Amino acid sequence: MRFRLGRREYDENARLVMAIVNRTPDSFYDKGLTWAEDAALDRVRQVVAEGADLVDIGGIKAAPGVEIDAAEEMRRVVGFVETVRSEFPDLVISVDTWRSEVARAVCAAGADLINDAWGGADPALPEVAAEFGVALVCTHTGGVTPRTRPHRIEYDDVVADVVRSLTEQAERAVSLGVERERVLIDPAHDFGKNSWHSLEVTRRLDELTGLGWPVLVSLSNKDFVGEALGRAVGERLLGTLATTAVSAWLGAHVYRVHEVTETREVLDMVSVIAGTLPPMRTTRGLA
Amino acid sequence: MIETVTVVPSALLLLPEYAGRDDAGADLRGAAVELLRDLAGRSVVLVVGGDREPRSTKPAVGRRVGQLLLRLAGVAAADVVEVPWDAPLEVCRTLGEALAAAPGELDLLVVADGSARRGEKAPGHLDERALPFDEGLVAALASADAAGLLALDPALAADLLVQGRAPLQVAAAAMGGAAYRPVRVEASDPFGVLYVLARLERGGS
Repeated sequence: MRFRLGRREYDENARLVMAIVNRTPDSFYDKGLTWAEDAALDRVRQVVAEGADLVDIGGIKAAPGVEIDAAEEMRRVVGFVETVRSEFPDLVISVDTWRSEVARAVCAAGADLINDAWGGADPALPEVAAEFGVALVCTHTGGVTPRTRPHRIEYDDVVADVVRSLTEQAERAVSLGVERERVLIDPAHDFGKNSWHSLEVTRRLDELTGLGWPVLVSLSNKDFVGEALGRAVGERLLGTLATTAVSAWLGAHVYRVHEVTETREVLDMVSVIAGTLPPMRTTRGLA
Repeated sequence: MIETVTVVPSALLLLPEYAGRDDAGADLRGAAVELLRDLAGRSVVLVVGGDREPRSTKPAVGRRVGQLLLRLAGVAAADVVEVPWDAPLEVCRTLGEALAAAPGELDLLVVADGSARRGEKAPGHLDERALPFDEGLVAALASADAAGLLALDPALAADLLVQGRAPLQVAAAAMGGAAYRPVRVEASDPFGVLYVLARLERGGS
């Protein structure tokens, strides 16, 4: 299995760090830390230096809140994508949006990947990805409306629902002209899911990684980690990293994260254990 | 007659299959290979010691390292002499004298290290006797002193985890009474094991 992001090509052993860069005043974890454009650009510089393979720029927080229309979303992200593209010509740039008009504008500004976090809420999104030859992340949300929390949702078999939905979305994207090697799938932990669902998806992630599409996981500091350990936001790094290691072992390819350095180290350790990356330096018993 | 004696280290980290992304053996391997290049086309006999603690069915580390370095240098080995790492001096003498009596001109590649007990972080931890022992070994090579090499104490060498004493004594016996001159002798111990890169050539100094 091979996949492509921007001009780069990866194989099934890839374990990529996608650094979250929020152009929002109110996201749950950073709470507006990179709301200002210069702060966001500093964040990009920092995560690139820390070893991020790609950045995921978002202009709207996932949780419910003040409504942000497409015009405001574009004001937040389009110019910023242009800025990042000009400073980092080779960096893979993803934009987190569900709106096709926003996607069109950021693709024109140099984005390589559309991260549709809301499960195809806008059916025209794949057409934009196809038109610009960029990659698309398909996510499972159980069909909920963007920016709503799951409430009393149950599945007969959450993984089966994820597999069905993601396979349909991915094949539809390909049928609309998105390159097969540029379609990723994301089970979207916490989206349309209670913590039991997210934990089961994690436990059975091999059922997704076996589908033949590159798998993106977005685990970072999420509620299912917090509920698993009884930890508030800000206390979930170790739980996130443990979940990252398990997901890596089960074959996920892209990790959307707040903490790049720690994630890179966990992923490298898993790759070394898996035998797909040599150790850094070995002399023990060999001198 | 032995034309040249070349000494290279016997460390597993010289084998590429043990290298990490940052190849800890790269510099030493490169220097050893450079030392061997001019042996191309000559009749090279590899002289190696057996493993001190064999746990596998693989050929001895010294044999694999020597063969790898020769291959990288584009040099073929005409023969291999393997001596137990703790072989008595008489065994070494017998093997060396047989090499000396062989027809034609031979070049020996000796895969041999000094003590592995040269510091607290060394594989065999620190033994205070290691440094003077190794000094004697290096001095013997630096003066092309076959008798000095033959005088190395096998029991002390064993205590000090000296992997190269026996193969060096095979080479020294092969040198016999002929005159040799040191062309190059370099010692290092980046990991607490004495590594030697050396070349002796037949002829007066």
